[in-house]
Amino acid sequence: MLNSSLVMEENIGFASLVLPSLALQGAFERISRIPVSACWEISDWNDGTGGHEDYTDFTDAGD
Amino acid sequence: MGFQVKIVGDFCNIRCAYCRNRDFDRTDKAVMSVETLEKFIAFLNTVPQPEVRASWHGGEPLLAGKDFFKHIVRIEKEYPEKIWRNAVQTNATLIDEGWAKFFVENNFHIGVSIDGNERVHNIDRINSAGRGTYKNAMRGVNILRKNGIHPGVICTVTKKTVNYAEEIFLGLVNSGFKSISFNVFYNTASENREDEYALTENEWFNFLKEVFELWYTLNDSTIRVRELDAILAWTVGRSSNECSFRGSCSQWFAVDYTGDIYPCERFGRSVHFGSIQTLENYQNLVASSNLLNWRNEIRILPNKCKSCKFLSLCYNGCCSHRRADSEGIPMYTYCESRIELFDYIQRKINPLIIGDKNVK
Repeated sequence: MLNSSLVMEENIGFASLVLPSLALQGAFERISRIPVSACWEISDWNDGTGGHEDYTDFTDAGD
Repeated sequence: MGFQVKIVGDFCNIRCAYCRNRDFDRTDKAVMSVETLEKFIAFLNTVPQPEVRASWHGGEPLLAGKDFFKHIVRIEKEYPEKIWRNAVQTNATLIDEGWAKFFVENNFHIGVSIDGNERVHNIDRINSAGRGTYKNAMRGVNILRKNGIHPGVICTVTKKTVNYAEEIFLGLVNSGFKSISFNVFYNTASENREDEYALTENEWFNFLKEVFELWYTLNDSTIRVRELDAILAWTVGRSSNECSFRGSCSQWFAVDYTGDIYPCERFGRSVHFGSIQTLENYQNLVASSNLLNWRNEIRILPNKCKSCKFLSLCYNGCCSHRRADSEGIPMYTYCESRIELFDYIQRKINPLIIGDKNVK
């Protein structure tokens, strides 16, 4: 299974991966723009004041 | 930090058959008073982050009228130290040149609700006379586009439409949408699985799997599907920004036209944190026992989650879509369909990323 630790440990620059799919390349380019501050782990359950920047629009609200 | 603000309560100009608020009165013309709006924006100014996101919701928020929205902007300008990011989630049927110009001038983000192509959209998104609203909605969308606004779209999937993934996805793409989000049907006032519009696990999985295949085959780098981006982000070590993949329900609050505060619009009015009329500031809200107790409750994970390889991607899903498991702990309703989808997408893309053609 490819998971987060595998990719990060191998230091793959995923945003610049040459993939045989424009759809995937576009997705990974968008994902690469997610601020690191928006990444979290389960230990980060917080009081609602954590970093939650959006990288495209407001559709992360679910509605 | 964001707030979904039901400025007109459940008041709406159309009558979607599946509306999650259909058990409430959608004809009651409630509008947030200017006094409450002023209190609310003063309240937002006490949020510690420099940036506040307000998503003006309904019902149909444009029924509040242009003057109300001008008040919003005017009052926000009284707090210039805050970065105000405004959004509107609208059915788009009321948009005219005046609205479009206002949104452009004031940098509003716009999300619209369209359920696919004209045929599928008109199955349930109807007006009070029972006629489909697609043409009116797309007229509004096109006015926005003419003015340089390219709205994202939220598409609700129900029992009646779940078998039309191709019509829905390609219908949205062919009508020019680039940022697409899918909401599985839910009803704020009833148990989902007893609802005639509710999906089974298998139906939801098959729908999203087909969307993934369509998206992948279309091969257009500019098309974003919220749910797919969330899963793909996880595969390369990034967490999703989408709340239903974070389990915490801490990114957004819902605020009713009265000033009452709830965790999210999806809960209806079943979980209440207090009111901006009495809380005075944001710190009082996050310190309130109602909120703290509720957040402690939603953090409890079912045993199934604790041993799940996808925990860090799912976190027990959207809090409003949970039902008690055999031990009485609320578990994500679409758990199995998620696991199947995550597995499916991983098997599909892992070989492409790591070059291992033997990955099954």
